[in-house]
Amino acid sequence: MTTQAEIKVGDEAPDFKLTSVGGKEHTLNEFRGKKNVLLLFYVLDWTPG
Amino acid sequence: MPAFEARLKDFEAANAQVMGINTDSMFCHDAWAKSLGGISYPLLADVHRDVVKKYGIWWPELNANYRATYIVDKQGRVQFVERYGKGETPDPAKILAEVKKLG
Repeated sequence: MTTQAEIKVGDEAPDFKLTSVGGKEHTLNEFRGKKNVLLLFYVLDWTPG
Repeated sequence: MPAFEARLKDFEAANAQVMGINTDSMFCHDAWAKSLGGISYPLLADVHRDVVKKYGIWWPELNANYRATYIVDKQGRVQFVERYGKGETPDPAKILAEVKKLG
């Protein structure tokens, strides 16, 4: 059983580097000092919402 | 996700970058986005489940992730968290209001 840390308000958001459609890489930290970021974790493609 | 696409200009006006994330591949994201008529914001592929585990929302039974929304401010701090149960989806108007609080 893997223990997962829960991210709460006030925590530093964990940075990441992920690839999007077209192969472009995105990190969270690239927006530091520039923009607020909205992270929408959705369940699976082809599902509502 | 299409619900946020429809309000994307409002989020951009609020100086917020919208990003969708799940554990499907970019190929799956591409096909799905096209089926919706296109999604303008990045759809990120966490195929290794590293990021969903960092955020504490890995769903072991599906080896996928739970539905959740995080708003991160310019300093990199989490300012809003919402997790959703079965059948629940984020409300773009409510999330937009939260983003606007940050300025």
